[in-house]
Amino acid sequence: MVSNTQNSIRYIFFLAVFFASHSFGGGFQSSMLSMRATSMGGAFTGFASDASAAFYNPGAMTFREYSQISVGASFILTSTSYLSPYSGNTNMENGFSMPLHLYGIGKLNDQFAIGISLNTPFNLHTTWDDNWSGRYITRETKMKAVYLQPSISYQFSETFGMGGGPVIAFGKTFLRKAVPVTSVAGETGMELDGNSTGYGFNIGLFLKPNDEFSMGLDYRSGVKMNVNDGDATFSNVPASLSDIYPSSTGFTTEYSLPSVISLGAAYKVSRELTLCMDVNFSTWKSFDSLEFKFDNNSQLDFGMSKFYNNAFAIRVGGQYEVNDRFEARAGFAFDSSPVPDEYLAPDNPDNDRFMFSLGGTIKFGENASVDLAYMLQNIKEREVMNEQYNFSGNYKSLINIFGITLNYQF
Amino acid sequence: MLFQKPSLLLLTALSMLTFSSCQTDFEDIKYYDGNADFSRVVVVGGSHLAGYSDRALYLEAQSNSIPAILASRFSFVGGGVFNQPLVYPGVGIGIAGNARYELHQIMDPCQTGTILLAEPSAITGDNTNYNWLGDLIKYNNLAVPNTHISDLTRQSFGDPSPFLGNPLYARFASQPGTSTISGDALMLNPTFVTVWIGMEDVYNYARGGGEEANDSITPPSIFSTLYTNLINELTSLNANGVLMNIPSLSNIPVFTEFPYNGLVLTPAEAANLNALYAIVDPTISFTAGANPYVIADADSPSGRRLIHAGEYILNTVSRDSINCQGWGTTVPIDGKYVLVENEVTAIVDAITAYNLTIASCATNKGLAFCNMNAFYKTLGNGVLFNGVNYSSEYLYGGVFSTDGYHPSQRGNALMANEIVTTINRYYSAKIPMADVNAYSGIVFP
Repeated sequence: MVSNTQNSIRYIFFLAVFFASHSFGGGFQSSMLSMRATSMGGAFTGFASDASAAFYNPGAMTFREYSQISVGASFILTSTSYLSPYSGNTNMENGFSMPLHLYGIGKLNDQFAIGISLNTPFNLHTTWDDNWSGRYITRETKMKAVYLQPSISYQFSETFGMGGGPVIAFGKTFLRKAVPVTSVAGETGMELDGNSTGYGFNIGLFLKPNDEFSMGLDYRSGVKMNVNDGDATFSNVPASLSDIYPSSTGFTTEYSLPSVISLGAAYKVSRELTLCMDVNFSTWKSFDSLEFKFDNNSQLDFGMSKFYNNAFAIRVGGQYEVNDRFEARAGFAFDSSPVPDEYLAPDNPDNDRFMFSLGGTIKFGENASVDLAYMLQNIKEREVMNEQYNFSGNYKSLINIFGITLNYQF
Repeated sequence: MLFQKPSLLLLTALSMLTFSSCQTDFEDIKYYDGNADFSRVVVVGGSHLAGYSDRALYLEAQSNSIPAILASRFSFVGGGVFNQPLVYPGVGIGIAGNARYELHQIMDPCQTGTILLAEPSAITGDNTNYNWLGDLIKYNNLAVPNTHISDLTRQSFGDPSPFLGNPLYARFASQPGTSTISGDALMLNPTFVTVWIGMEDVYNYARGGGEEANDSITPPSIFSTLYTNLINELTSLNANGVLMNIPSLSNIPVFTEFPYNGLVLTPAEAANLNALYAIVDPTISFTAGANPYVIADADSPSGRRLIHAGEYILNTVSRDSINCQGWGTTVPIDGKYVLVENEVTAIVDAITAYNLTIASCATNKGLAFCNMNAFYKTLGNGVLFNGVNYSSEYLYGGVFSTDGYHPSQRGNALMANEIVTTINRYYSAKIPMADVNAYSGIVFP
């Protein structure tokens, strides 16, 4: 039993650390996929010190000493403001999302391990007021992809391992916006809702020449998503225009999620302190436009120009073993935005971002532990003129993220 | 153990959330009036500045008239009160007491489908709108539908006796039958004048079918004299201002909804008409595809001919007559629905001359000049605003109201924005433009 004083000191220390470490490369790649990685700014490819190696670098799975299962959630609070040259400040509806994650590593023997990863590496959700000045561009947009990755890893020698497996992606595309047609009941609205499944693969290499140093290289392929049978519905359609806007119909679209190459290293400076660094390169260039095609009605077809650029991120992080029960972590990252000025739209008001993260692990006995993480993302202010919509203005965002991961090793 | 109590964990999470949940709101943009002064704005013009729309003067369109939208913009840079002679809520007053037009979906009499038609929303307009408003309030918006340049200095324009004066001006003249619009304008001691006059001087003729109209074109020499006098007078108290010129025919739906060669025929239809015209007038023939309509022409031996490119059919012609009663094919379209070459020339020449006068007055008096003629051409090509493509297409283009000549409320906002752009440039001001999409669009049934 710990005394009250000790408890208080720990509480204060915990708060302090919490306030003083993740994300992938911009666009709508999500941060907060595992709390241990997150709290180190996401610099994890060369460290991969927990079950989330099944995602970050399957080459490292055999280097784990135990089998482990981890499950957790992150709570993402986004605050975005838009400054219109016509109507001043508008705040995005408060964005809250709570993606879950699950990782597992099973050590079969010293050479083989199997892993499983289930998370949401692509996660975009923006909502604006129904009557806002950009309603003909977007009222609500969701672009989500849940990745399921079973993998297997083989350790060639004491210092070198390699792993990989398929990526099975489940995508959700949801879009709600106004149509510039007015009926007696109000403005016509459009809602698109489609699911898709796509496939890719993930390969990781892990090198650990000595106890102090390790490095990793991971390649996760791009995934082509085809929405083949989406549902489109139109509301408040004037009867005289019902031939053009059916109350419900089908649509198709397709898009490509980028491949991500990550190179990372970790160095154990002292018994307590480990420093990590990562660079990621995301081939967002493949995300050029979203073309929506409607069943038997090409008059409704429309496109959304994206023309993303490839993007990179640099991440640094550190882990400090306070004692047998507690580890503290912090990290920092810079993430470049793939979205070009002339195609930035309010469905994803992205920009280069700085990320600061903090967190820690509390161990409960030999087998159980909890990872906590907090991250602040500051998306720099950006003034743009979207050429497709002639929609101009300034955007800025702050994202607060809290996360928790429960681990059990055996 | 740390966080033994769940409440402590919750408290920790909440305190961190409160501490770090940051606001991202932008500060208000700083606007300024530059070298202009909007404390007392006076507006002089015709139906376009009065807020006339859908073939009537009614409250909603008046409330979102071009000058009303401008006043809402000027309010960011010290603009003063802006009073308009508003009519009562309802269907409004319109031409010959008609109610405002709205779109109805009706059965096409000769086909199985339906068509959209602009029709009066009530049997009659609201007659109580003719009561005099009194002289207690000075009105800033002195624009009145159906105002020619000569009406601005005519005392009888405000005569309240039935059918003598203008029904709107007689309603709010400072002294009905005695005061004039230009006199009332000076009574406000304006610091800024907005003038768009001359539309009725040429378009009453054009919209009435030219020579068949009840109105003639104000001769350019008279327009020049009166306009110069008007601007001299309005600026005699050192007002700033903006002058709008006159747009040409070619981007206004009244004149473009029925293209001259809008008669589309199947091979069989063309053959039938050719068989008929072999007897009636062998100089007229048709081919499968797009053809010019047949119009009345007293100079032709058969009393008819094909309309030429550059001549116009007005959309006041009944669509039923075209679709069902053989107008434009077996029946020549009557002259009051057609602008033939000499009429078009007279209109174009007048507009060119008016616009020279307006531009030189702006230069001579140091006033901002808003080239509406150029802006109408821009609208004709389409203007993209916050994701919506506005154009001069009838009904679907969104710029013009159901009458095809006066702007819709969104059209008013687009034109107000063009005027703001002009003022900002000329007076080194920074005045925010209007959010066009915040105004009402055309309601489809």
